[in-house]
Amino acid sequence: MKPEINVAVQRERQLLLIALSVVFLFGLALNLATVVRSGALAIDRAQQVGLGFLAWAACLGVTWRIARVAVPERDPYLLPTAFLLIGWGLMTLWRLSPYHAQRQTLWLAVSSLLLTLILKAPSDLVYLKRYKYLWLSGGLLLVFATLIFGTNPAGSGLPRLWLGCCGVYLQPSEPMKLLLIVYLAAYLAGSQPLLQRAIGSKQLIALLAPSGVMSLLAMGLLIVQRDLGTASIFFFLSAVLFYFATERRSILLFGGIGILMGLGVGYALFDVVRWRVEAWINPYLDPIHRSYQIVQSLIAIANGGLFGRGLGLGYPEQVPVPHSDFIYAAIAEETGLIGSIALLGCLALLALRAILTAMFTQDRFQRLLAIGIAAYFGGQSILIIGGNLRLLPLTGVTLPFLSYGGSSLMVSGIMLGLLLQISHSAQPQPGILPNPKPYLAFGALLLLGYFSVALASGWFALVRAPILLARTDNARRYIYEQLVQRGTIFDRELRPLAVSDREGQYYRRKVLYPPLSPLIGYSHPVFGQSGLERSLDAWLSGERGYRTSAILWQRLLTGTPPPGIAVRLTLDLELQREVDQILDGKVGTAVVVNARSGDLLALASQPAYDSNQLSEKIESYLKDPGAPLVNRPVQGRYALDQLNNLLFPNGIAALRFGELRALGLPEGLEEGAAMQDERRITPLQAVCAAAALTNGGQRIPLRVVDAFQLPNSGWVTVQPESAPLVVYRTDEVAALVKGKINFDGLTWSQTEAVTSGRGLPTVWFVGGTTSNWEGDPLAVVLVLEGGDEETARRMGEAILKAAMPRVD
Amino acid sequence: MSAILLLVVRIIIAMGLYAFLGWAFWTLYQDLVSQARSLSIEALPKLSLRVQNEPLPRPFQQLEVMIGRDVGCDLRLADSTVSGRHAKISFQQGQWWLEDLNSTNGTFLNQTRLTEPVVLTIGDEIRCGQVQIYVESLS
Repeated sequence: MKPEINVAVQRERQLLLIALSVVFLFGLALNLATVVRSGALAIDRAQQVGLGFLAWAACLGVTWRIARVAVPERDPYLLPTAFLLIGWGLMTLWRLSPYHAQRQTLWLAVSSLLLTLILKAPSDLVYLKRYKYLWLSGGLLLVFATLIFGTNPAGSGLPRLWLGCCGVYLQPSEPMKLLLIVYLAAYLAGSQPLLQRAIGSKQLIALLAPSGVMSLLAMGLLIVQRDLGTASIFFFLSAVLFYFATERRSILLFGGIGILMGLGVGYALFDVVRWRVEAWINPYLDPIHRSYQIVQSLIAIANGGLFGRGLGLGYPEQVPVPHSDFIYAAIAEETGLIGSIALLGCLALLALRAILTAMFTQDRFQRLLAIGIAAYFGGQSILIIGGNLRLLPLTGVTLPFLSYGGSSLMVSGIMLGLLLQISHSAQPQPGILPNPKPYLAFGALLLLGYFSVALASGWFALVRAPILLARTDNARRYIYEQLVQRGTIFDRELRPLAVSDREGQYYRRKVLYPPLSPLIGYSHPVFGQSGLERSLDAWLSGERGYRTSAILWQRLLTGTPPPGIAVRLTLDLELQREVDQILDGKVGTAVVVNARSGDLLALASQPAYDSNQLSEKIESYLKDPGAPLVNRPVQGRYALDQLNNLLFPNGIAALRFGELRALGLPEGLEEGAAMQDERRITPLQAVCAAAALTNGGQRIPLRVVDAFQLPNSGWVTVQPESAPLVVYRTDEVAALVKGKINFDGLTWSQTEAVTSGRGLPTVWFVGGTTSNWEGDPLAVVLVLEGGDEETARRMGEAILKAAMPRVD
Repeated sequence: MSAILLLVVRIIIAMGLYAFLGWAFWTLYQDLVSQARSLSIEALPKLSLRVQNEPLPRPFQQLEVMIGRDVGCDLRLADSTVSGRHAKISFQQGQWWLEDLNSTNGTFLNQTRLTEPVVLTIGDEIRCGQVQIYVESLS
C-alpha cells in the first residue's frame, strides 16, 4: 500500500535527514582519522572532503526539490536509500583515492541531471516503449564500437571496454544493461497476453525468439570482449524478465542449466573463466598471482572483524583496485561486520521497494521495467559482493551506487529516476496480480542472496579471521611495524641489540650489532620472519604482554596493536663481540654458556648475514658457499667421533633433549632441540652436555630470553620450563674430565677433527671450567668447518679466557 | 584523544545507519499493519435489512446474519409466528444466501416458500412467519 502523500513526504524527509547526518559524520570521521594516523589535520584534504560533501548534498537537494514537484506521489524510501549509498560510496572514495572521488563527484552531478531529466519527462514512459528497437540497436552499436575504438583508462593491454575522448570515458556495457531491460520489458509487455495463453513450448519459443535473439546478440558481443561479468548480468536480467512475462517456472530451470552450461563452456574456452573459477574453488593455491585479489579481499574483511578498524584506519589499499570491484572489502574492513550488514540492509531495502513498485503498477510495461531494475540492483550487487567474499566466482562488475565508475553511476541514476516515475504513477492499491508467485519467488531469491552474503561476511570477519590474519601474505603486520614501535631486544646489561627507530612518519627496524643477525633474525614484508623476531613476534609486536582488553581497546581506537614489549636476552654483548673477533674470518660457530644458571652468554655464527641489508643482498647471501643465512648453533648439525664418549658416556638419550625447552629456545626455534641423528648434533646440544659436565653432572635448562618488560610490572624474568636434571654422578664427572684439565688447573678441554665422507673436516673444541674455578662454571663449544685442531684449541681457549672474567 | 573522539563518531555513524534502516522498516511495518486492518474491514461484506413497520434499515457487516426470536440472534424479531432460530443469511462465494432453519411457519422469498438456500438481490422481500423484511442494499 502506498502511504498517503503527506505521510510519505514526511517519512522521506526524516530518512533524508538521517542520511544527510550519517554522510556528514562519515566525512568528519575521515578527517579525524588523519589526525589519529599522523597527529595533524591535513587541511587541503579536509577542504576537499568538505567540498565533496557539499556537492553531494547539493545534488541531493536539487534532485529532491525537483522530485517533489515532478513526482509527488513517489515511493518515499527510494531517494534516501539511494543517496545514502551514493554518499557512503563517495566518502569511501575520498578515503581511498581523492582523484577518483573528484571524478565521481562530477559524475554524480551528471547523474543527478539525468535523473531530474527522467523525472521531468512524460510519466507514461511511452518514449521508452515506442522506440525500443532504436534504443537497443543504439546500445548494441556503442558496444560494437568498443570492439574497434575501445580503450581502457587504466592503461593499455587491459580489456578495452571503454569509449573515450578527452579524459572522459564511457563504458557502453553499462547503459546497455538499462537498454536491454527497456527493450525486453517493452517487447514482453506487448506479447504477454499471448505468452500466457501459449499452449505448448513451440508456441512459447516462437514468441520469445526475437527477444531471445537480441539478448544472445548482446551477450555474444560481451563474450567477444571478455566482459563476462556483464554477460552474466545480461543473462540474469533476461531470465528474470522472461520468467515474469511467461510466469513459467521452467524458465528458471532453463536459466539455471544455462548458467551452469555457460560456466562449463567458459571454463573450457576462456583462460579468464578458468582462472576465476579456480580462484573461486581454491584461492589459496595461487594466492600471490591469480587469486591475489580475492585472498587479500578476504584478509581485509577479516581485519575488519565485528566493529571495523575505523574509517581511514584500515588498509584497504592492500586489495588491488579497492575503489571499484573491491569497494565492499574496503567498507567491510573499515566499518566491520556492523557496517557491512547495514550496507546489505540498504541494498535489500532498495531492491524490495523496486519489487513493490512493480506490484503497485497497473501498466505491464512499467511493471516489467521495475522488475528489471530490481533485478539489476539486486543481481549485480549480490554478484560482486559474493565475488569479494568468494561466495561466487569473481566478476568485474560494479557495486551499484557505491563503486567508482561514471557509466555505472549514470545508469543507476537513470534507473532510480525511472523507479521514482513508476512509483509515482502507481495506484494507491496493489494492481490486480493474476499470479503473485513470480514476485514472491523473486523477492525471496534476492533476500536469500543478501542473507547468504551477510552470513559469508560474518564467517570471514569472525570465524576465519584469526587464520586469515595470521597468513604471511597479510601485509598489515609489516605495516603495523612501521606505525607502532616494535619491542626492543636488549642484551643482559640492557644494551640494545635491535631497535625500531622513528624515521619521519614511520618506524624502521635496525639490528645494532649485525653479526647477531642469524640469531635475532628479521621481520621482512617479502621474506617473512626468522630467528627471535619470528619466535618472539607476539611479544615484540604487542600481541602478548598486555591484558586482552587493553589490546582490544587499542585495536578498536587506532586499528593497530599497542607498542611492542621489550625483551632482554641472556647474551652479553661485550663477550659476544670478543667471540666474534676471535672467530673472524673463519667458518664456524661458538657458544658460551653459564653452566650454573643456564644463561647463554654468546652465540656466534660466522659468516653472518646482516638483517639491515637483507633486501639488497639476499641474492648474494643465497649464493654464498659460507651459508650466512644459517644460524649454526641452532641449525648446524655436526658429526662427532671420540667426543661422544666424553659428552654422552651414558648415551645421548640420558640428556633428554626432547624435553620442553631443555635448550632454552623460544617457540619456533625448537629445531635445535629435536634429535634426528645421534652422530650429528647441534652445537647447542653439545654445549648443554658440556655444561652438565662443568656443573657437577647436573643438566641445567639453557636460557636465551631473560625477561620481558611488561607494561605495569616492569621486567619479569622468564622461568625455565623444565627442572634441572642430574645426569651424571659427581665421581663420574671427575673421571671423565680428568686428563683433560689444562695446566692452569682452572679449565678443561678436548678437541677433535672429524672427517666425514666428503668436504672439509669438522673441528670441535669442547671445554669448560673445573671445580677449582671460583666463579660461576662456564662451558664453551666451538665448531670450525675446516681447519685443524691446534687452531680450534687456540681459539677455544681464548674464548674461555675472555668469558671467565665475566662470571667472576 | 582524537582516537576516542573518532570512536564516538564511528559509534554514532553505526547508530545512524541502523536508525535509517530501523526507521525505514518500522514505518514499513506500520504500513503493513494499517494495510492489514483496512483490508480486513473492507473485505467484510455489507448488508442492510429493513423490518416491516420500522423506519430505518439495519446495517450488518459480518459474514452471517441469524434471524429469529432468540436473544442471540443478529436480527431479533419479537413475533409469535417467528421461530427461535428461524433463518440465516450468509455470505458465500461473493453472494448473500438465504436459508431456512427448519422454522415452524416457514421462510418465504418473494412469496415463495424456501426449500433450499437461495441467492438474495436488492429489493427482495423476505417473510419469516408473519414478519416482512426488505433487502435494502447488499454488497
